[in-house]
Amino acid sequence: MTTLSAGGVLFAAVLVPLSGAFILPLVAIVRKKGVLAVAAVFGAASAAASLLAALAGWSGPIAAVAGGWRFDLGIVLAADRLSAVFLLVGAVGGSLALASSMEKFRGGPWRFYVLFFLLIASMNGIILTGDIFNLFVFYEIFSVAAYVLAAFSMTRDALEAGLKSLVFGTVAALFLLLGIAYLFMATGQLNMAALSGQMKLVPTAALTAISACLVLALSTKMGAFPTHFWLPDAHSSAQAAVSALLSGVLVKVSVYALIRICTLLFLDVNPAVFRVILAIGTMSVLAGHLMAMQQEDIKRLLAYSTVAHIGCILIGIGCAEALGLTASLYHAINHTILKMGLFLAAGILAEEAQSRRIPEMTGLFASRPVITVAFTALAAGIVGIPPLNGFMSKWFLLAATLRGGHVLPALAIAAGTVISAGYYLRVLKAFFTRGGVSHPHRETPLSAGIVVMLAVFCLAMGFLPFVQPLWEGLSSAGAQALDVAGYVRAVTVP
Amino acid sequence: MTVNALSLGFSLVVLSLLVPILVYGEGYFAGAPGVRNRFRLLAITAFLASTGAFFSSDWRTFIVFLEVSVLACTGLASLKDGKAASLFLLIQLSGAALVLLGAAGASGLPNPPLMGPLPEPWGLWVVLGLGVKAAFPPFHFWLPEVQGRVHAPVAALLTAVSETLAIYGLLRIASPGQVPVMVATGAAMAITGSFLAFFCRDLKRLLAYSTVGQAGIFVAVAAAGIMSAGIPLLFLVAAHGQYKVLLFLGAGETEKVPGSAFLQGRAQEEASGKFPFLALTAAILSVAAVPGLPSWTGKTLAKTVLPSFAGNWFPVCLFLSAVLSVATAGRILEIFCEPRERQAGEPWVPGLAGGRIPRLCGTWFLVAEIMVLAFIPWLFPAGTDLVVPSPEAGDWAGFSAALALGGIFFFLFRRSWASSIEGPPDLHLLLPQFGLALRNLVEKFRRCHSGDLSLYMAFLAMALAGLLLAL
Repeated sequence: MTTLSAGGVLFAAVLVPLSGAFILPLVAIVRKKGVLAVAAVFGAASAAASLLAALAGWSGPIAAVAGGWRFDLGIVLAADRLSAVFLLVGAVGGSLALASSMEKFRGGPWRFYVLFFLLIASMNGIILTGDIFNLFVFYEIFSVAAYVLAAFSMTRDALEAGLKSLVFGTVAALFLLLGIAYLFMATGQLNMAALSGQMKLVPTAALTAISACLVLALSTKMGAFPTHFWLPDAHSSAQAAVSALLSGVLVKVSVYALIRICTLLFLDVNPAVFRVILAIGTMSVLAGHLMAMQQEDIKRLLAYSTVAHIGCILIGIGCAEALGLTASLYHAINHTILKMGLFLAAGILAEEAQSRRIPEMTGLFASRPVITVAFTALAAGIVGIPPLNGFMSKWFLLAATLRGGHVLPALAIAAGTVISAGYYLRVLKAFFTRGGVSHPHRETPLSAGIVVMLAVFCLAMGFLPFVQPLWEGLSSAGAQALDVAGYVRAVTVP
Repeated sequence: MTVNALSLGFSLVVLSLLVPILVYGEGYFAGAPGVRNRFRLLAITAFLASTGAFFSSDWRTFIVFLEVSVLACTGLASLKDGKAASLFLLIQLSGAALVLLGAAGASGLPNPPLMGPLPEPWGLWVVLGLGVKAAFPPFHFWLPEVQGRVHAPVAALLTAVSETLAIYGLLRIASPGQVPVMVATGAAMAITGSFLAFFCRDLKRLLAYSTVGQAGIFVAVAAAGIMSAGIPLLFLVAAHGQYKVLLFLGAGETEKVPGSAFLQGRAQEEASGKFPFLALTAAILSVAAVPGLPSWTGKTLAKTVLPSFAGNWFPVCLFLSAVLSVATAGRILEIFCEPRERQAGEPWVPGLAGGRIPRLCGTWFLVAEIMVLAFIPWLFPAGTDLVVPSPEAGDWAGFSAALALGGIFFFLFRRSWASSIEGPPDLHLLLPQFGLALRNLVEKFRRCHSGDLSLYMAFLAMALAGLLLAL
């Protein structure tokens, strides 16, 4: 365990956004016009706290226990390079989504920001917690905030989507709780580092049940096939900024939880879990792309594409080796950049066309050339066209899967590339076709700027493997995810 | 990135093809400055990306540059037809996905090989992917579909860049394990492509099928691997690129705006759009592989590097391909020279009426290049690596036989085809044609039409003489 200051940084990453969620309603009561400024301040402070925690985690596995309790009794927060990557994704993605939503709402409803900060706090909590029950608690806060945010526009579709994600999320939470309960019954422990050492003592049948419950719960939470039904509705019905946050950032939290739980608990005692993850990933890739191909609604298309890309990430995790995990992390970062950009651009363009139906989104290149070009670059990135970031991460995913002898998942990724080119071409064809009417709408220069910035990131991130220090850093994050002993040592050794 | 003679050679070949295409494009798009600017930008991008691919030191970098060139070519294709561009991109991405599978799989090996043969099964994935890109049958359908729909200079550029890159990749990947697959596929391509080319009525589709046929020879030669096949393949690619680009530019002269299905007679209609007859002759002689011309030299060099198991039967395929190429050359000549009624006020490609000088410059530049390549054997003194053969009596005999049989094939089938079926060739449509053609032949003999009969007899006599000489 480390000094108080490092521990303080970890706690700050949870407490700063959490205080924002509690202070904002008070500000709204006292002075409604001040909500925007206070939300901006808390947004910046939350991002700074997350980045500091990421920095602390990057310098080596660190852990902190609240109140000086023993590690297996108190509230433990721990961070390593794996956590750092996801904290970084959350901080950057969250800030961009907040900026975009501020522009959309112009200060707007304080309830939105309360939910937003609850989401960020719980997200950081899931990433940093060292205790599996606390992970469940944070997950519940996270899920409730996400359900309400999905339904926030209060349209019929949004309410239905919120309800659907509530039902699926609750079922997933039930399985998560069931798995945790079995774990506690079998080991008497909830601290993940302590659990890691005791998994060998768990009987095989119980281990299978625990693995099944946890994998099912987390794959449902991240919207992997076949429990993905809630995701396209939730991600397509929300506001553009919320969709970007949900699809770009929040699904990655479940990816983190899956990596952390599976590596700590099952890597040595039940490696079959990784084969199941590989199979779920393969099916998600194929099903996601095939269903995206059927969509007429641009946001639903993007949401199904998320299912497919979650599948790609799962395939990397399923390889259960350093290169696979590194490729998964790289793809997760890339997917965040690409999907946030695509959702924000789709929001702007749908507003321009007054429709989300692809056949009705014609002629947008004439009225919004910059956004359509940025959308094209982001779509090319997500399809995996070199030298953009999507290509590079797919390269490493393929290298990892084929090295492990997993030909089917590799074929699924390759086939997915071609299928996704097909459906994105359909969208681009509509954008670049002449015709269509431009409708009066409010300009959103900040969101447009964010989309362009993300398109530039999409190109820049393609060169990450060629920048040796950065690539080595990311590779070490992948390797550290498999270094169970290092994590356990950081948490348990005083 | 690594620089070697082969990379430099391929890069120079593409550059030698790009320059006349760019010059020609200046005239072709003279009436549409916006399109012309995009054409310039994308063509140069495609060339730079192809150069990057030639100089790549590993497969991943090769794929990156290859796909950047594909993007530029897609942009070029979209200048006229979005559907053709989409088809091109989807096919190229399908090929890229296979190449990616192979290259990424091999990169996970303990000592991943650089830009060279990959162990199985990864090498086979890459061959398959590059095959899709090079239009291996049964993945050949896209090439005529795309090249038939795009602007003529773009079609020429697709041959110059996209096809050359795929062939270069095959040359690099070839390993002993893949030789039988590549040689057999090459033979199938050579025959199928040349055969289908003959039955096209659209000049650009015809040229595209002919490219499939020629690419078959390249694939079979590339199977010999980089150590043996480098120079012959370079020669073949350069020669083929020159005359094919020249013919595509010729197709540009005969093209009109709304589609390009029937292009005959443009040469006779407008003096300003007249394709230089000498250029056409040079191109057609190259298609027919007249001994002494670069295309013949390339094929002769190719025979020397064929693997031993193909030594007996592949030259027969080459001969059949030559017969069909002669027939195709006749078809090209016919398309250029056959008069066609032009509707009053029918629009041409914007700018064709103007920009004549750049178009002529581009055309003559290519003719000059063919001449230079034909004289290359004299530039290299004895004892250098490049030993270029001189035509001997047997070569002339073989050519005579091919000319005779090709002529017979041309006269036998063209009329029956032209009178009955419209549209692109398809095997199931072609089969009844043979019956029809045979009936026509019997009918001609029965009626004893003196002109036709004497023509057939003359060709039969040439064929017999050629075969006797060849034996």
